[in-house]
Amino acid sequence: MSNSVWIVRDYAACSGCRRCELACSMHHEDWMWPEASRIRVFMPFPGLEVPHFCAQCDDYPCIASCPVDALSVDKETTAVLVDEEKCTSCGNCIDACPGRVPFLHPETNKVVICDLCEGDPECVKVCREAGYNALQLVHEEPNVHRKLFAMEPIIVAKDLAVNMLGEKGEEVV
Amino acid sequence: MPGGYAGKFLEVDLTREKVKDVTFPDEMLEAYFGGRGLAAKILWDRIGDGWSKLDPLSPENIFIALTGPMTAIYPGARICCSGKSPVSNGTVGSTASTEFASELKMAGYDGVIVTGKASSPVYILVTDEGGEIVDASHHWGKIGTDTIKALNREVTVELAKRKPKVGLWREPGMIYIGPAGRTWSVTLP
Repeated sequence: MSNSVWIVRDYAACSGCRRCELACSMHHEDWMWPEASRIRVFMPFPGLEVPHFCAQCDDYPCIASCPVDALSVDKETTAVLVDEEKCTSCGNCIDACPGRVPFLHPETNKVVICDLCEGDPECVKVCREAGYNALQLVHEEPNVHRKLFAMEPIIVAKDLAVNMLGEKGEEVV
Repeated sequence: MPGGYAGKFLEVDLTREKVKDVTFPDEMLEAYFGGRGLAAKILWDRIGDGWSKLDPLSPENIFIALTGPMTAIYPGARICCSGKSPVSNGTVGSTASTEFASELKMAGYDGVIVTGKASSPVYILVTDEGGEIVDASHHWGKIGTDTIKALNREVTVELAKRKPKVGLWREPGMIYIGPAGRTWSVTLP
């Protein structure tokens, strides 16, 4: 796994411009379609933007939960790949994911997971171009810390509120 | 149907609590396009000669929120809110840049036309299946950020209940009023 990549996310730097959603859906669906984007930016409270996408956990609970082996790991990039023909839309992977990251595509109704764009993610490119650098690409081996980033957006937002707004943040979300 | 339009408009009659889909002829959409143009045409058709007698804050006034043909095609994200203005007694053509515009278009609607007056505070929930009027009495009196927070939670829980397997629902796009709208403030800030 020499070419293993991972996207570092900086919640505090995210402005919620959602260029990443547009770039992602443009790359994968050939259409500006944020509902079908692999990366989604949640906003539990105005001003707290939480980019939410696959963190490539080292033990892959989604793959273990799949009853039909529709999910597999890309050896090059360590991303989770979806075989759309095998997927039965059962939703097991959504419940197995610690952050409930996967979701069903609004049109095809198959599960959608970040595939890291074969090692060159579009979302990172537009984030750097816009100057926010909330998403950055690092080349590192899989490790246990990745799973810490697979969290539900509302939990992330609560931590973020305290960090950004101080004591007032505890009652914000 | 000219390019760029989703094809139907949502008409909400709050007095009778009825929701229906309306369409406009192609010639009209080609002649008056965009939020302001089409809204002026709709106001002309529906109010017309009664314009000078119409009280802007009465239930006879119409609230129109329209997207244009370029909305939801990057970078178009504007919604145009129109009606008879209580400040100037002319037409309002107020545009706002929100997620609501592109999400309305993705739900298959080009705009929302609201008529009448509800008996209690309500909000209009637009999904892919259509629009519906939902009671919002318990949200009355909140300031803007509290409204966003409460509706985010309420709508995502409601959508997750309807389609439990889809995964996490993202927060809806919305337009709402705050204390100024609640108290019918007509003074410009």
